[in-house]
Amino acid sequence: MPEERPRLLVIDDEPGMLAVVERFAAAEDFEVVTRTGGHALLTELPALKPDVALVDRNMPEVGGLDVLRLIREIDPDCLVILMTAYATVDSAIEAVKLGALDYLSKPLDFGRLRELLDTVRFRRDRRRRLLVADSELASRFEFCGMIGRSPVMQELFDLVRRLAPHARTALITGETGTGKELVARALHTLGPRRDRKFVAFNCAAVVETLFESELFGHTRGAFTGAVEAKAGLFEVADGGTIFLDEVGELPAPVQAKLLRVIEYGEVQRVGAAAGRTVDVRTIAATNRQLFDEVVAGRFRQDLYYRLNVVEINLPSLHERPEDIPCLTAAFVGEFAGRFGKALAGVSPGAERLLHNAPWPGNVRELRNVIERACMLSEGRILSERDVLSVLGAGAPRPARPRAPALPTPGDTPAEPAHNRRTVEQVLQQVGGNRSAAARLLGISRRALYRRLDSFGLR
Amino acid sequence: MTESTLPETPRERLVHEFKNHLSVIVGFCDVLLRELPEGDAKRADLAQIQRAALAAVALLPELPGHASATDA
Ligand SMILES: Nc1ncnc2c1ncn2[C@@H]1O[C@H](COP(=O)(O)OP(=O)(O)O)[C@@H](O)[C@H]1O
Repeated sequence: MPEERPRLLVIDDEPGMLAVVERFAAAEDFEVVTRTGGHALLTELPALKPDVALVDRNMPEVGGLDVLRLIREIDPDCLVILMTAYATVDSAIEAVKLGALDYLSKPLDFGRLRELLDTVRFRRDRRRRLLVADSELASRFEFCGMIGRSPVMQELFDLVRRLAPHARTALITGETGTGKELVARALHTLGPRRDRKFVAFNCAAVVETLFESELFGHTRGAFTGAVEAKAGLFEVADGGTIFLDEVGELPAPVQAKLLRVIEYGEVQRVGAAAGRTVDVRTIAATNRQLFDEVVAGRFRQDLYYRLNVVEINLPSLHERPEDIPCLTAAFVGEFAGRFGKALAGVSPGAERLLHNAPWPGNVRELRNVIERACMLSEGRILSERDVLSVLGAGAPRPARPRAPALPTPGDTPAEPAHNRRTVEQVLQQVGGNRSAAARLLGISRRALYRRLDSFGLR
Repeated sequence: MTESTLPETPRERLVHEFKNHLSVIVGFCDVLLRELPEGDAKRADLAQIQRAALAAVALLPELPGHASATDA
């Protein structure tokens, strides 16, 4: 990748000033963009993505302090230097309080300006190096398409590596989006059946009456509509692995049949008089507390014990925030490639947001957020704004509904419960902007207000 | 967005404008001085221009009627 020059945006109503600064900064190896006023900034800034802006304080129309505020708001990663022909101590203090890097008086001290530009370049380069380091880490901590540098994930990879050659059945537990299917695939790929089929089946996505024929097949005329005989997925997966996602959704009769396949390798097509033998490795996954289902009598105890001989529990993303930077780096790389964009990574502000978001949808949600942000981004770095605009929008419902779900009156989708500290932190991060906070938290604005009321924060 | 960031009186505005123009002169001298090799004959001329412009900047507060002129 050719080194891009850092970008300087100069705003001054005096064309001579623009010319001289441009000449100077270009010699310092900055790419310079000049504007005679701040009026079009609101729309231009996201595409311009300057690393630093040098802004005249005293301009007609939009004043320099307003430009400073605007930049701080839209693109917090852009450093701002104010300049003025009319300096007072008070105005300097005000500017610095508003987040300006420095306040220069005219005529400009080019020695000082050079130091400031060096600072900008240094910060940017350090940032780049960190991003490269993150993506290198990402590949170092990759395991069968899974990324995780946290000790829990490293241990889990190790466990999967050791179990893969042996386990005939396994139960993978964890919240939605934590990577259960990836673990199942890893067990398959690292096991002796890697050249055979891996068949995935989501038990939450099938109508109750079709389970049996889907899994075990049916004979011709077994039921109305069964015009042809059909092999079930267990037969399709013969010699390989079947992955039963959301296994807690299986109806009781199917649970009994599943137990038979696991114990004796025997499947019986619906309508068939005799069974056939298959050799299938069964990996089940659930985002429920399956044992509670057993206690409640909804899941067969014998099947449960059969499945959980080997149990692999995936921690939620919230429990392993150390993984967020390398996951992010990997996803940015993936989508930058897919969308043909020169994205190198995320800004510090964006990284902070990603680190602190609650992620009820775990890695899947993080991936969706990065995908959308990459799609929208027009810069080289995903900014805080890019991320904020898509955060929360991609959050899946906390649990997949049983299909086909009948709506009950007054039934609203469950909203994640956040404690007071989380809500306060998020609000603080977005500068008190409640819509943004609600989006971040994955709840509606009304729900946020209710929560604020209940915490006495309103 | 409205904010009065421009100097108040007509005279102050004039001083401000002068300073802006002089800043451009000073700045271009700076830039050219950086570009010209050591020992180039034009350097001395540029230094002269810049000194004169800086002297003019320094005189601005002393113009009669300028806010700080009365304190001086
Ligand atoms: N550790 C990880 N590294 C990279 N991608 C991951 C990781 N965990 C999950 N993903 C991605 O998140 C999404 C959801 O993963 P999946 O295995 O389907 O989760 P689950 O089955 O637990 O709902 C997939 O796009 C997957 O590629």
